[in-house]
Amino acid sequence: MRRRAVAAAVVSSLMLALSLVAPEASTAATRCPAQSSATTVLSGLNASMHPVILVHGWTGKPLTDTQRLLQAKLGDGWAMFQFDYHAFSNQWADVPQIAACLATYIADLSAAHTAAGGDGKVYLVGHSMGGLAARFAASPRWGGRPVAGLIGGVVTLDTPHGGSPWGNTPDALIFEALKGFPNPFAAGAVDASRCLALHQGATGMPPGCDVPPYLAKSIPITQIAGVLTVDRTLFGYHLYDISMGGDTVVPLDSEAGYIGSGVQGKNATVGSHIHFESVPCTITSDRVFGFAATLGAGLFNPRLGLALARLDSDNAAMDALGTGKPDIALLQFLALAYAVGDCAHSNITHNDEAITAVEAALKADARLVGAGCATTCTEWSWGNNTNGGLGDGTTSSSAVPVKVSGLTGVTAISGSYALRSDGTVWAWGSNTQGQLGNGTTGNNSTEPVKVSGLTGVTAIAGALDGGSGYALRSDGTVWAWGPNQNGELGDGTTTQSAVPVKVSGLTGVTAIAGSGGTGYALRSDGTVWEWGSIFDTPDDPTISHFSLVPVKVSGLTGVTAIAGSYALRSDGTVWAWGGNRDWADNLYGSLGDGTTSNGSTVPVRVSGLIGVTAIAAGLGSGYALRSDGTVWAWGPNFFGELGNGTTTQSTVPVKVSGLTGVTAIAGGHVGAYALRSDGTVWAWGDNHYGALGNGTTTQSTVPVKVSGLTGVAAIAGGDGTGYALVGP
Amino acid sequence: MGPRKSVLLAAAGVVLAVVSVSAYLIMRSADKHGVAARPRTSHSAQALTAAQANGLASSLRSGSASRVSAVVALPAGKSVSSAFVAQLHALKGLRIDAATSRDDGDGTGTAVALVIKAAGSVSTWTILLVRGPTGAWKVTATAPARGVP
Repeated sequence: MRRRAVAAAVVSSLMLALSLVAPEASTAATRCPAQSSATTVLSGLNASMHPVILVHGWTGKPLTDTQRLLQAKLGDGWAMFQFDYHAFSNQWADVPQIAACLATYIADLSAAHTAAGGDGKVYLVGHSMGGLAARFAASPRWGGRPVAGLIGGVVTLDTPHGGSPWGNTPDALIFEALKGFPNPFAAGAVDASRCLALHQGATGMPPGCDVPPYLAKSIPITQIAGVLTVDRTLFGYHLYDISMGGDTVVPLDSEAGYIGSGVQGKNATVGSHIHFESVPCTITSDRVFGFAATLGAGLFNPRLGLALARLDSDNAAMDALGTGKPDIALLQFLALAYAVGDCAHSNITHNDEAITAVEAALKADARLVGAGCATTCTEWSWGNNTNGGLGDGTTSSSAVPVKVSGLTGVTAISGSYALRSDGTVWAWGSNTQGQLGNGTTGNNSTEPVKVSGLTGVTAIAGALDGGSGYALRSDGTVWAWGPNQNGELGDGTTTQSAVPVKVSGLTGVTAIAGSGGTGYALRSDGTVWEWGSIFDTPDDPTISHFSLVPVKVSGLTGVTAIAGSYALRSDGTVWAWGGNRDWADNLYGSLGDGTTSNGSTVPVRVSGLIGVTAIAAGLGSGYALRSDGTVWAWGPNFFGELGNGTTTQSTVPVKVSGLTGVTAIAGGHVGAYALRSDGTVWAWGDNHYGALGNGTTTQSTVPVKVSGLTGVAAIAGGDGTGYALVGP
Repeated sequence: MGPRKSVLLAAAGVVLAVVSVSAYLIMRSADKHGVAARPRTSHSAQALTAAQANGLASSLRSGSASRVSAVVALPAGKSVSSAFVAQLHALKGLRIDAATSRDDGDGTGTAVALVIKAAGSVSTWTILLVRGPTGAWKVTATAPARGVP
């Protein structure tokens, strides 16, 4: 064994030296790698299946174990395919044989799914560099075709979003050679082992290596990360734990480092869905060394024990590797842990917990994009029904979810408004000032009625307190109906309207929001516009004012999402300004900037929040969802609406208790809702009419589970009411 | 590039290649088990005298945290827990076979140990050793002699 190893080492070194001296002048293949195996040929699809493409990593091969295990969990409703680029897998993921060919594969699979009657949405699961291949393929620059709209979600498994300390080292280069890729310097080649270097955006990226692009905002991404701990043991008895700081190949910061891994100054398009799930595991050192012993004397070196004994702090192993001067024995120890650790880089692809996380992510993505909602999704509601806000044909409040009557094919919800797949809007509940938008005023409706004259609607927004309704049409215009005493219809008048009217002067709008008396719009240039009651300070009426047409919120750029008078910027920070009617004077810390000032006419940054991917507004309270799946809240807290176990206001964000794996949030009247990746809904705050949906009317200062709901695709809050869109 | 630099580069390449080859072989062998662990069979000096082996085992089973700490290689700031000390103390027997011990000459060594646990089960372990600052041997790691436990 030793003789073979030394011989191979010498040969490898010679090959390396030759490659450095005289790069081979062969041409790179221009054809896509053949997809001819049973798992790569696109066949057997039907409309009810969600197609998934598994993408292997650097120097890898199709993920057959992953496919088998994932298929068993997902069942017949999902169809698995492998993108096999093994022949080119020592190349950086941006080369045409990977990025462009994967894009073609995506497009072909989408077309096949559409032809079979499906929605054409394709889901990607990439292991290691396969996750980066998905990022490159989804970008027209490298993919060569616009496939972003065809992708329902991306799941990355131990992907080095920020590189690996093994990258750009001679060890990686030699490893490539041993795996059968002898000349990474062939003409046209871009060696992946070099481009996998640790980097933050372009910083640290070797010359000639393109930085992986961010995904389109519409594509949810879930980063699943193995985190290995070695339990140092003697004779099977625990001494202490040593964190490997990642999966022995990719540090945790990189596995979960999607945000910040793209081009400097162009952070991930937060506002979309960016999630992270860790898969921890522990292996005893006895097992590692026991495995080493099975490899024979040549690889069972007592210096390995010394390397282990020297690991004296968390992350020391990966840190030492990152310095570029790791101890050889430490490298060997990492390699052993790599081979044996259940969640290590090599084993994450068949780790049951990881496969379960992939399953949950894919199902959440499918719910998110409304896969199947066009025909089968239904809406459920609970809480206050005094004005028919539950839409169930009654005026009886309910502390558990009830089905909204007669609505199918719902693709988006907001308060007591629903958007159907045919682009029409439906409304129910209060109609004192034309909130139903169907041309009538005065009579509430306990069942959905169609809002008049609206077609081609792509998004809706309703106020939490029975105020005006808003609709965004596919042409980028905004339409509004209902009350208008503050100018919240934005049509230049203060006359209420029982049918939609066009908000003046707004074009190129990509998102809308409404709160009591105020409308908000986000334009494609990243600016925010507001109309109606745009700054209300009851204690100082001299600075209260209204605008009957949209005006630009000063100083805000790069905004990717809005919720009331909160804005999420592309750098993951949240900004707030005066404008929430009820508690807008910031007496209770609605701005979240650590003050209780009289509000602010210009946006101020909400303290301490980074990595935010979604925001929501309650009546005075703000909510933020971070990329790690936790929820943060600030502002008034009379009924536990901050969800942190207290009823004490907070002028800065506090963590909502006990919530992890959250994928969406919604503000309620005096509380909030969270959707977890397992499809369940959680609520906290006031519960006077059963708004928490847990079968009681007792308020809760911590999240409680809404009864009986699973498979939820979207959530919304209303006037003491909760809403959920339940998937197929 | 001068000849001396070329030689140095080649030497560095070989060292790195050894690591990579090791790593590669480890990874290729990830699903192969069943080879009994045993110390290297090269002609190395014996690491432990019978008295040293008995002393090492005695310290490990002493029930004294300070004595256990003295014979276990620990990084600065780390200590052995009372539970760990108690578990070793509860062993029915621990015998380190001096005859199987080996000094690799680089400050490390190995030996075979026989462990009798409270339940009466007997198992064979390879122990990895390192010389401490005083020259005395300390235990760095153990491996079950029958492969992956």
